[in-house]
Amino acid sequence: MENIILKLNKTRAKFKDSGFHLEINTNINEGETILLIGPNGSGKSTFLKTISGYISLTQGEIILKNKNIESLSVADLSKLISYMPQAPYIPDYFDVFEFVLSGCYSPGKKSADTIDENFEITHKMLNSLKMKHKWSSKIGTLSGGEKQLVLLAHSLVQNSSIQLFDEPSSSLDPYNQSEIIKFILNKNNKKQTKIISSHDLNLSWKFNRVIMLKNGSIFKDGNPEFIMTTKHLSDLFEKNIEVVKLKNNKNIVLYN
Amino acid sequence: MTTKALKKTDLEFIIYNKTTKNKLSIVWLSVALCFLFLLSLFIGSSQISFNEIINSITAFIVPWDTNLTYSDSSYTILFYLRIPRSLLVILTGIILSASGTGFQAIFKNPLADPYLLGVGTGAGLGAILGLTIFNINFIFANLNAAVFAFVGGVFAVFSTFVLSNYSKTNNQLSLILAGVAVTSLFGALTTLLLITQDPDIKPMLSWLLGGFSLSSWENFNIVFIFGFPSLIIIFLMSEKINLLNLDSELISNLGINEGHSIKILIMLSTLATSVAVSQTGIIGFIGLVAPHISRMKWGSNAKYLLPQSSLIGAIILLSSDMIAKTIMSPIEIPVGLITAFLGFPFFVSLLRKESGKNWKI
Repeated sequence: MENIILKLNKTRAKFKDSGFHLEINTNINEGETILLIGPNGSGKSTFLKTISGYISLTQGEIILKNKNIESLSVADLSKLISYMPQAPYIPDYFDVFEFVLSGCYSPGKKSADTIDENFEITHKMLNSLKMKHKWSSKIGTLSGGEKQLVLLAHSLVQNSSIQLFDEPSSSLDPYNQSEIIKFILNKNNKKQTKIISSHDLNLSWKFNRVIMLKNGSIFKDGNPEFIMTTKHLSDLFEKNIEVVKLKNNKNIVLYN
Repeated sequence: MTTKALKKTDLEFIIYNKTTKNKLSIVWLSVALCFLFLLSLFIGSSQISFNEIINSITAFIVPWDTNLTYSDSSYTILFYLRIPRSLLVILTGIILSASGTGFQAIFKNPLADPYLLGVGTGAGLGAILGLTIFNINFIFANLNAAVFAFVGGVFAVFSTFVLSNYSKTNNQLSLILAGVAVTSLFGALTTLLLITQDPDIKPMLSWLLGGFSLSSWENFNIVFIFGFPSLIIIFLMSEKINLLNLDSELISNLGINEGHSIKILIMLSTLATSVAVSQTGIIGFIGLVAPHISRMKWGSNAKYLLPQSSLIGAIILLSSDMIAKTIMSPIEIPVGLITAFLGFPFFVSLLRKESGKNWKI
């Protein structure tokens, strides 16, 4: 019934020379929306970087649509996966429109800025993120939150079938945080697989799957309704965390 | 004001701003360069009248017209000295600026210039080795010395690459550090040779500072044959060069093999720069300043930035050369001095403006 799009077979990877090892064994289905949570240094970013192909594996394999990820070229991989890093370097002298438009780049194809459609896509994306008025601003003049929105736009215009986001809303105000996550999840067709890491635990119930990471491996994995419990969260963060059910049947996470 | 700002966000306006406007700027920069080229033909140490120059050019274009009066010497000076010289100046300006634009993208730092990896001091050392140890007769634009300079430049960048491989942490940062090391070592060796070997270091010094005073078609042809193909490939890579400005994670996610592209670009720039340096000496600041001016004026899209900065570099260098020819006439001063004099205030203002911004390295 469900199509497995990503298969992580005893995947092991390490982040630079930190001595930190990630060890993951799981399947990801087409169209799933997954939230990655876990304490700092638990491997959320490494997990995303590994799937994006930026970090090479030390053991095991990742199967993407029946193909070993390591047999794919950077160019082939880029057509299937988009990845929004946490705080990448963008030169101050790039302007917003140019940067977002560069997301439309596709290796081996016509140059991105010769295609009018790309301008339209970029324009629309900036419009829906309410950043249209900043189109000609230099990146160096943006606030942290605006920069994050622009980066998100750059990632979304790629419209890839697997989309990875590393804390895409961390610099936004609380209202926009939840708005942006909703925006990412509702965007485009249901076949796209989205994996988002975040420290905002209250977002969990918007996703159809939550993966809890601890010390580089999966601690709990499943539907938020079942795994987002007081016990699991307290164990995960080794702190007192409580999940409270409100009258309107919504859940809220309390940090004691 | 606000209605105007709103109107500006129209898609058509954006497309105009991002494409047509840039293309137009390239057209008018080219026109300005052509005009400057023609102007440069009238300037030089020997006095040739305006009419003689016009007549020589007309005679070249319409050889059957026998009513034109001009002397053979004027014709020779024009077609065998001034024209090849100005063309070489233009080509050198283009090579330095295009390489500078590429290097600023690779190293994600707008203060990078084409000599960052040691190509300049390498070429200088090569030329002086040729002069002192192998006893080559050293005059400006001597072709044998040029071979030594070219080999020296390529060797320096090669050494930088080998050195940088000892570090595995950050590709670009280790390249810069290795480049600094190679530059200072080769610079020290050059000075050592200069003060110990040659009693008359004046011609050598002026070579090091760069100049075009004895440029001929031979010099131009050599730079053209080696430099032009590299330039073409660099221009064809412009979209990649644009993306190389970004974080390596973003680059790899867009499907570009960063390490691979960097190597190709450095090889091409090194080939072009060292062949230019071998014929003209070490001309500073052009490769740094030209990309900045065009970025400030028209934005940073490398597809347009490359031609824009190349044209600006050619314009600045051609103007500098005209100043070098005339300012202390009949003595010519090295054009590198002029670009340095022009570049210095620019560089300081840039430093003031840019310090405090975040750069990758």
